[in-house]
Amino acid sequence: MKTKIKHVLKGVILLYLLINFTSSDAQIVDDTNKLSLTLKDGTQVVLYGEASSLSDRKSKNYYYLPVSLRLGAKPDKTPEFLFLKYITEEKEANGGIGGALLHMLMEWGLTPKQQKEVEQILAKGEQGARKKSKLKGALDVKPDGDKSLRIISATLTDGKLAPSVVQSLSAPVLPGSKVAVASNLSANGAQLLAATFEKTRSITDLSIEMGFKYTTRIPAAKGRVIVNWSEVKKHFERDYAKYEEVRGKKKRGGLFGGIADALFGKRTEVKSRSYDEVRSVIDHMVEKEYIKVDFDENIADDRVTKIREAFFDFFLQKMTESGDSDVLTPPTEKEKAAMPNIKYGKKYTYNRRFFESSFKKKTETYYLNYRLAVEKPFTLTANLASWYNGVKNNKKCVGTVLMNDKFFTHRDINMILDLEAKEMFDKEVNYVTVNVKKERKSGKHFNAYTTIDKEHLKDSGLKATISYARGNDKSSEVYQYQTQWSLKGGNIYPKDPEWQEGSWQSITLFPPIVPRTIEFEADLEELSALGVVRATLLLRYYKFGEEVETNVPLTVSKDEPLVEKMIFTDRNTQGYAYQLVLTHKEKGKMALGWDDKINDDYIYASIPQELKDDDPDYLDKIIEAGKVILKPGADGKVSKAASILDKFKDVIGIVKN
Amino acid sequence: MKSFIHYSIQILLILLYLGSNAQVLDARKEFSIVLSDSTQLKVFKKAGSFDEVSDEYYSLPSHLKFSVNQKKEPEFSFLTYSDRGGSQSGILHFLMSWGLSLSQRKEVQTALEKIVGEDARFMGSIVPELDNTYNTLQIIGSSPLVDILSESATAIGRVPTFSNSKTACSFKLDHNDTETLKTAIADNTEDLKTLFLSMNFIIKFKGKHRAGIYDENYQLKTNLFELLNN
Repeated sequence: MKTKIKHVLKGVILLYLLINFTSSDAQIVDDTNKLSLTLKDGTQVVLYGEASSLSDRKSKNYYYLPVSLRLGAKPDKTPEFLFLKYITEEKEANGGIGGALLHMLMEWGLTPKQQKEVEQILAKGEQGARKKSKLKGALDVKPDGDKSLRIISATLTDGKLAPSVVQSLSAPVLPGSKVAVASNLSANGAQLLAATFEKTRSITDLSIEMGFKYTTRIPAAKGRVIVNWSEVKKHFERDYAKYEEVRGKKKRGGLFGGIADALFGKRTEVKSRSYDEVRSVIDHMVEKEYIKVDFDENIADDRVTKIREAFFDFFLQKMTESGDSDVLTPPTEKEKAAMPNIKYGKKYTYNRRFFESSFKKKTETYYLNYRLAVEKPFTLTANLASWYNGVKNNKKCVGTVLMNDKFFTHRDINMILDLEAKEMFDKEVNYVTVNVKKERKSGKHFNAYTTIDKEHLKDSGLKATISYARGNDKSSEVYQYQTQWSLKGGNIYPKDPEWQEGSWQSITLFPPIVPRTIEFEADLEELSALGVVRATLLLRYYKFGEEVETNVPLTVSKDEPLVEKMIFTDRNTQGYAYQLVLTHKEKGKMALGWDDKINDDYIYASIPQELKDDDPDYLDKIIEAGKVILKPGADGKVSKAASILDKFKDVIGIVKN
Repeated sequence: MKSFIHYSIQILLILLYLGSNAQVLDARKEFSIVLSDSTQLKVFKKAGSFDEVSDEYYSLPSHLKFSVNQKKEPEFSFLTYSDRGGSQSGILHFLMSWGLSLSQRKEVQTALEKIVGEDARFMGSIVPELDNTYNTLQIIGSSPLVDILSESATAIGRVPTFSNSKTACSFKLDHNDTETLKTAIADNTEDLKTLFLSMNFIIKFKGKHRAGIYDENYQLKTNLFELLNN
């Protein structure tokens, strides 16, 4: 009689399947029910049949693995791809840029046309499918690893060719879901990539790899255990008869003695057995093929051993009743291997009822069918060329742009300090401030200022720049500026500066005063012969609009025929007045009278002929003039009463702006 | 019974975590079939179980090649370029796949029927397991080009376990390497014959030498000469 205790094992399988289904939300497909279809466009579609619960039945419901990696598309069918080359008018050295933006969205999944074709193939039972098979959709997949979307490209992995690459990290798990890849390519990177897909090439230097995992149910192990109870019983009866003949009523020994005791002996004399004793009985039954174990497994051998052990433990539980030993002894090696947590060895007593009922069955068969849900990897790889041909003539997708939008232009207002003025920062000038304004029609006027001082000269040189953003301002008018100088002695000049019209080229900042190095020379022998001990040059000039005086002495005894003196005169004057004052060792000061000098900074102490001739009238005149020489103020300023420059207005003042 | 269920579940859970399985082939049922392109294909019968007889046959991974685009052009590109200074560099990019074409599958089916009978069903290439030690395309061989490509690789794709699925590789070569590869390709030199591109798999067999299931490492490789000239 063949008895199947399938319900026992089905319970196990059910529990197992429950565990697996709850541990993963993915559909589970049957690994043994796979179809590989080739569509008219050459696309190969791999499909798996739905896994049937607790059955080997092949389902006609199929799911497809990720396929047809392609560019995403907008609702108006425009491919979601952009390759935009850009360049500025300016060279890179001048702040210009050039390169390209690459941006694309990708998705996978059967197109409506492909899906229809697959459905038809399945329904008609073509290419290995059974008739009336159905497409249920895409298989549930999950990304394989943390970076399941990979860009394979020499250009995009080169930091110089593609300074920035941004991408989705995970492959999309649903058909139609999109992932993005974007890059800002350098000019060379753009040209290189463009060369690979704009010219007639089979592929470009850009492939996309998506890594997925899907769950499939595989027949991991199939087992069958046939217990031939008739043979077992026959053996026991033979052993029993043999024993009765030899030993009479004494306790039975031998391998099956324990079982024979349980079955045929006195109940009161049934003795407990150790684990190893019971184990050896089952091993012997297997060896003699009273218990026949057939096992097909698709997994490694060591795991089959565990399954065999599970069967052994199953029989152990069925055949015996166990309890703690009277004496606490350590478990045997075999017992410990079977029950790792056991502390002390157990005693086992054969179960008379089990054997009695089993012997009635004659033959008993156990089936075991393990199916495992395992994850398998799957990659989907495609090259940009397969998509690019469809977009290369689409102006919405591929284009160029000359970046000359004036909105983004900046105009530099350059201010250059006059070279002469640099010298004056140590002597006369503290700093100069430049205010700039540019009126915009939008009302948001531009106002800025910069200050040039000694630190600026040291760090940045003579040039200062203010940047002006053009934005929406279309006015062609230039900006206006005003300058104000801070001068030695706390002078601010001018106090109320005027706005002047600027120039886009640059403006030069001239200080209001200019340096003049006056050279004063005399014939020392001549002066000495005349009894003159010192010749003093009195200089009168305009400085910040006021008349000032500077004296340049030349002492005969010092034996220096030429002395130099720097003075600073207003920029808008072109000359100065001077007077030679001779100091006679007996007659005192002799003022020779004022004269003017235009654009000539060399003065020679010419001795008038009258003086050489000792003309008494002339001498009286110059001695008298020498007596009324007034000293200027500490800052060289000359009082109004002592002013003389008005007399030279025609010469000095005429050029006064 | 509770105990049995307990043990069984334990084992099942062990299996669950250890498990990664593929089709199992019967090592005793091996057939060699020569296709019309002169390639020799190894075909195995699927390993049956104690209560079933299989008539399914699978081939080992074969026909490693540059994949083709929709225009049937090989997906291989070697682009050399010069910068403004005249220095030349190169970018190499190719896609590869393995597996039989539809016509080759039909050819194998016909051959199998002649060998083992009309009941034989050729199911195509096996879906092997990945060899996790080498899960990307390998560049191997004694050719000096091996070092050049290995060092200039910027990305190497994963080995596909499904026939006719693709994998991609890209390389950026410097001036000297570009010249070497360019010359080798232009002159079809011997160096191309000793550079192999390979994919490594694990195939599960049953029967023959060992009891139970055992894993066999399987390497599918083709030299660059054949890839470029076929």
